[in-house]
Amino acid sequence: MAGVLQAAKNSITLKGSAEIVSEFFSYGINSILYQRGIYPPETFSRVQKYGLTLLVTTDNELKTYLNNVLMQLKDWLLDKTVEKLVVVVTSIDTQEVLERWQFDIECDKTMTEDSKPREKPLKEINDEIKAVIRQITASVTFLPLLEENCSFDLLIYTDKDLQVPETWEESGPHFIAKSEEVRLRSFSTSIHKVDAMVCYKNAD
Amino acid sequence: MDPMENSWELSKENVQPLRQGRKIANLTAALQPVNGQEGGLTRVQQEKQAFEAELRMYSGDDPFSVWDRYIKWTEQNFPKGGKDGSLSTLLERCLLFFKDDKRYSNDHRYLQAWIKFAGMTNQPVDIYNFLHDQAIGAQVSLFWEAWAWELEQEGDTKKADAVYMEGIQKQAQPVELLVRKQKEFQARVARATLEGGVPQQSAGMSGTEAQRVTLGGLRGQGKKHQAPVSRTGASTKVYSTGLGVKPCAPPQVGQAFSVFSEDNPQDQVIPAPTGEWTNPPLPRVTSRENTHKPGKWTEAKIEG
Amino acid sequence: MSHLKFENDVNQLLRLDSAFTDGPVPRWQRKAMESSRCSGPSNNTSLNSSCRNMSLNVSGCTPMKTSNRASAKTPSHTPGKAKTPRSGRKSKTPGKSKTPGNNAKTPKTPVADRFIPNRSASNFELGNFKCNADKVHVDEEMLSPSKQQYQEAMSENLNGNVVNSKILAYKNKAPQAPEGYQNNMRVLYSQTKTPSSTRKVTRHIPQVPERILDAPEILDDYYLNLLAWSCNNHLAVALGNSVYLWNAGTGDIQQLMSMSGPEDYVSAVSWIAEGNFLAIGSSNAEVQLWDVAAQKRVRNMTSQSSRVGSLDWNVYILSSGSRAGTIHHHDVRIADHHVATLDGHTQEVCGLKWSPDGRYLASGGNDNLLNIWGYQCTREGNVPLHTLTQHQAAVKALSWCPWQASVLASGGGTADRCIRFWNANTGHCLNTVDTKSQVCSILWSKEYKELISGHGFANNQLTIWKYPTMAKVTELTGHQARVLHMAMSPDGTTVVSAAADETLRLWKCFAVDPQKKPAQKSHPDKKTNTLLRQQIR
Repeated sequence: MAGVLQAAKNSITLKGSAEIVSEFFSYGINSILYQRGIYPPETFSRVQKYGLTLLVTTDNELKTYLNNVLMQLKDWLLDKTVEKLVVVVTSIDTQEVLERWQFDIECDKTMTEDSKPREKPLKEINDEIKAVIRQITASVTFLPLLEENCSFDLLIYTDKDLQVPETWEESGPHFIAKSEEVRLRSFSTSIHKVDAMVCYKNAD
Repeated sequence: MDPMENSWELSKENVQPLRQGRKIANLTAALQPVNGQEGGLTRVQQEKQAFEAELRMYSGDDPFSVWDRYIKWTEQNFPKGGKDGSLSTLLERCLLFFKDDKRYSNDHRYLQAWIKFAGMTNQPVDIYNFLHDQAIGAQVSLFWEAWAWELEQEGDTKKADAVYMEGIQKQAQPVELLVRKQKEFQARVARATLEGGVPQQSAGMSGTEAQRVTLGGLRGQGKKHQAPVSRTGASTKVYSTGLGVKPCAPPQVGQAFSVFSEDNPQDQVIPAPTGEWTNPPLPRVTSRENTHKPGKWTEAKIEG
Repeated sequence: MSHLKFENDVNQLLRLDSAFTDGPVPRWQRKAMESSRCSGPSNNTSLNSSCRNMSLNVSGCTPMKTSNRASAKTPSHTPGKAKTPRSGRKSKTPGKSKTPGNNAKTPKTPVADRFIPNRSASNFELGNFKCNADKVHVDEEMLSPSKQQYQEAMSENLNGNVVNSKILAYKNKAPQAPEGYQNNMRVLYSQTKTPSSTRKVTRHIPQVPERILDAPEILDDYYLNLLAWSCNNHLAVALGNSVYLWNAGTGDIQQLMSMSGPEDYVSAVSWIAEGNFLAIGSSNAEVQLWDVAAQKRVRNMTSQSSRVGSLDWNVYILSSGSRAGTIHHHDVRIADHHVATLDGHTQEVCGLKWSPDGRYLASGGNDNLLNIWGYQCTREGNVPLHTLTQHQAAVKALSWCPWQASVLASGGGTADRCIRFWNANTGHCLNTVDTKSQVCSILWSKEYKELISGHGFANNQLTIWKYPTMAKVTELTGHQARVLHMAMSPDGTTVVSAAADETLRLWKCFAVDPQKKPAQKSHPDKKTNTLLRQQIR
């Protein structure tokens, strides 16, 4: 009996993988918003996840926004049409892009809903995710202070043939001119692989 | 993944975050253990020497540019600070050198160096008062904003508001920045007032604990009648009578002249710049009498 | 079929004089038609977005509809009033460029009758870079092949793939932070005052140190533990590759030892409870045991794989924490000293403290974890009783409350800055205090029921707090660089702090009046650690 349960825990389906990835983004984006000081720290509460204490927002409007984006992301992950998710941090007053967190998503295109599930221990995936989120927390080491009031936006890079839903619109990439780039850790569910990196304005 | 890429994470507690951010290449290089080269200097030491040489030999129009680059280089290459990378010493040298140079009074970079320096001292407002008196930075919005922020941190919101007003009045550039910052400041103050302000710490330190009495008597301890450590309870003494010193007679009753009485004595919120304050209040100088130098180990004794 | 369409488009565009068949209707036609016609929201935005993608890039064509025409046009005279919200304008959609024609209601005069590139949204740097990509000279000798590949991957990631993807954003944007909200991270970059208590403290605490001692060559590294004060009033200080003993009672100083390897340095020191043996951890992963009276090295225990940055004693068990994240228990009475391994951390173990009754071991690491272990352990496969993850930075400051059993205080590093109190039995967090700067060390004062913590940038102060209210009693400033280590004198009256400014400061902050101090023996309270003695294996 235990053997069967064990097998179930380690096998990842396409649906399961999409779930894991979008859940990571939910916690990851919340961590970025807290650690960078984009919203007041009092509006966050602590939860346990991946063996870490993470901060998630309690603001309903913000929660709704994130849910809407991530639900759509999950669908697109299942369709295997997502290439990147980008968190763009912009100064409200000057409209300048100050920080850009880019998560590249690679998907094994051979996987379908009915494919045989892959084997990868959930613990291993969680440990990898834990390492990425810890790095986000530690990034204060080199990132500049976001001096001005900032807003953030989420951009999703998809295949060009994708039918754009009503509630979405096309956008520019919002690059930062003259930026410093730091590559962060990555994690993989054996079906999806997510690489993280952050760009910020050059110190000069 | 290249292990060197994540070395910053392994030493994250040894890195002091910089307001303008760090270049990751310099950070990674600075965190590597220094290989003691026989006789030669490390790359960083060589670069430092190059800067010092450039400072001595510069003969162009903008001497401050060399200092500016040197300061920024020091910040990026000495993540821990420490002795070699002592930013405060370097800043002090630089700022003293240029303090009378009117060319830089409203130079953006120069003001940034002052603001950095002020942030490292115990009394940043002191520095800003000095700068105001010397009319340094009067045309630069950054100066007014930084000053107002320090005042806000100290809780002096009235003065902070006055600083914003004066900066806008003097048309410091860019004015829009100051206007915006003042609005945000006012929004913050308004919000804080609505929320009832910071609740005073009343729990725990209740009235059951004895209070020290101002100018109350103390009992001497031991043979030398030294002052006690604990200043309440058994260590206190109540004096029922005064000292027994008699007053002496004044030269005459009342004054021979009359003192001018003001109708409405005004509170001066920000003193006007006079230009008289010529020496900046460097902490090294102002606290000179308050600091000890390290002494010999053998002369120090602590009873165990 | 899209490629045919593309060909058609290109052909059409190359004909200079022909009418434009797609895109917004020209003004004259629109006026003639009498009805305002909006050319559709998606069209306009795709026009803008494609322009932004393209900017000055002529070579990289996207097969999007009107892109070629857009880039071929010269900017017109009219300012791009239709394009981006300018700074200062309160817009509900921060950071997004939209044309007014996006609304469901069509505006009276659609302003997008010809394309006007938007300078502020164009990425000139990117465009220019791409245009000149061939001409860009990269200093290739400097780059190793892996670096080159990395650079290529980076540029591909950041700049390249725009051509083949759509970039989408959700229309209803996220809410903004309240007006005037100041980024709380600002505390990291300059001095911040923590609120102080309104009540005056009942004793006199000198604000200047009793003594300042010069500590040349002391290593500026947060992760090490270079100070220890024995019950016999000897202060052990590790300076670089040597350990010095300072007799606080007489003032005498003696150099105990020096590392032999040229690059080796001492990374941790810890006194045994009786004060006659000193454990020394070093960068070459050794744990040495020295007999102080005889000035002789008695043991050299090697079992760790990397530098030993933390050490603590529990009667005859010496625990060592290393850079690899492993904790070893060494039984100093037997030859085969390595009796247990605790694998609870993935990065350097910088804090290690046994509780006074020997029941718990608290360990903190650079992985932001605080683990509480029991005294019972097996050779391998040990699991912590509690793994506490609330700290958002490295946990080095650890200290057990001397008068309340199982209460632990921990302090977090730069990204955390909090002091937390824990019940080690349940793993429950009792209290949290934000100190606004990096915490390196915590000590308790039994006499006054107070806590003292050492801090880093920008104040470099020692803060004394009243326990359990955590009201701030006072701050002791003076160090010119961040405080790294602290230790307390055996009688509990004096605290020594070592900082990166290469000084040791001795603060008489917990002094007691002479007649109040009961006659104390020089050796410490020996709580018989019966629990450990029962563990006879």
